[in-house]
Amino acid sequence: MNIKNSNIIVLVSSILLVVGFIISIVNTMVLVSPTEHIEGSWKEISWEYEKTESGNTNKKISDAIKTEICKELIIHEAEVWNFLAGGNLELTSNTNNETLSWTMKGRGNILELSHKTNKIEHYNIQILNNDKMVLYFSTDIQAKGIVKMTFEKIKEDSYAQKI
Amino acid sequence: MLRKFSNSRTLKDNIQLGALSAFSAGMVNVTSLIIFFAFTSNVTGHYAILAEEISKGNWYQASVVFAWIFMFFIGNFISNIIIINFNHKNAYAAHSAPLIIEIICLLAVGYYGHFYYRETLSETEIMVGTMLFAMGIQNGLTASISNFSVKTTHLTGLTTDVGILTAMFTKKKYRQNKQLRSKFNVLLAIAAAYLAGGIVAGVIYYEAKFLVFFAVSAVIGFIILYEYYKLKVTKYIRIKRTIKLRKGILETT
Repeated sequence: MNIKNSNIIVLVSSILLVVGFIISIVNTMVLVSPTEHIEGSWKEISWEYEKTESGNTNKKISDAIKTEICKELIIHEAEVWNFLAGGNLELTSNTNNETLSWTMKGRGNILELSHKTNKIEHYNIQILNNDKMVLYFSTDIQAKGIVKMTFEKIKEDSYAQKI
Repeated sequence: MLRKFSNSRTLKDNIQLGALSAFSAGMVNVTSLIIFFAFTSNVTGHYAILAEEISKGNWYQASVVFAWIFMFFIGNFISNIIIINFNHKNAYAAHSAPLIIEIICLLAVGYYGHFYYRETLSETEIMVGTMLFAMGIQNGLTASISNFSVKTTHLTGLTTDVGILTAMFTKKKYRQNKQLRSKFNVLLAIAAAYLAGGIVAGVIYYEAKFLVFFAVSAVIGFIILYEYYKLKVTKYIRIKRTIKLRKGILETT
């Protein structure tokens, strides 16, 4: 490769890098961030094991085990999670209402929940879009493994009608 | 550590520079992992994450990760621009300037984090970017002035080199090679210092939170001041030796 070609390659790569950086910065300002995506109400759809150490093929988590797992967590047993813009999270169920604080870490892939008692928990955000949210967290209740929680976004209209 | 460039560096210089800067890199990386859930002293993982986010179509996250990688790149670029342009004028100043920029970045993160951080995602993204920039500056400096033999934040390459050297040392002729043994010592010093830095930062963080960045800055500040002190001492010894020599010449004549 001659010097002229090398110079062109260096110049083009440098321009591409700088343009890529500018596009990235613009994207972070224009695109919907995970923080904005998560705001609103989410309904719990399912709880299942993503991975277990026991090698059990039945990944569905029964209500009894879910209750056991929830005893160890600050989220308890909620059916609807309402993420408010100010950083509060309202957990609503038939029997209980609770308010926690939420924030995101990393590149928006970690959900941090904190309780008034200063207890903090982290959930891995696997999927987050307009309709669906999937959270992972580790547990060692009953079977050591990773629990997958799936949520469905409650659209503004239907939620307003419901309440 | 900072006065000498490329091939004029001794094993001691490389071990001192490698160990101290790896110690600070370990501190930064572990702290950022605890606070922000993101690595800041290495970008190998970020490349994998970038590819993953693009494949998932998560353009916001992909943009953030690309910007982080770019910050590491630009840190390396700036430290080497300083070295290339000012090394011939004053090697010590040219090598200290990138470290001063690094200290400013880390102090900014520590100060902001301690007094103003509200734990929003955009703050996290900017602070991780700043730390990646600082680590890029440090890595670029150490790699450049040690003729690419010291890379304090690149433990993938380091572990690879340790593996290769260990395999080579199974043969007597390689074990007797002083250069290879020296390289092995530098690599082990960097790995041990990086790990130690991480552990120390983890312990300090649980007590002092964001103030850990002030401790990292102190370690980097020590590198600069130690070299300044050595520079002064060397100059003093040289002057004394010259005076003694002149006196000797005068006495004989």
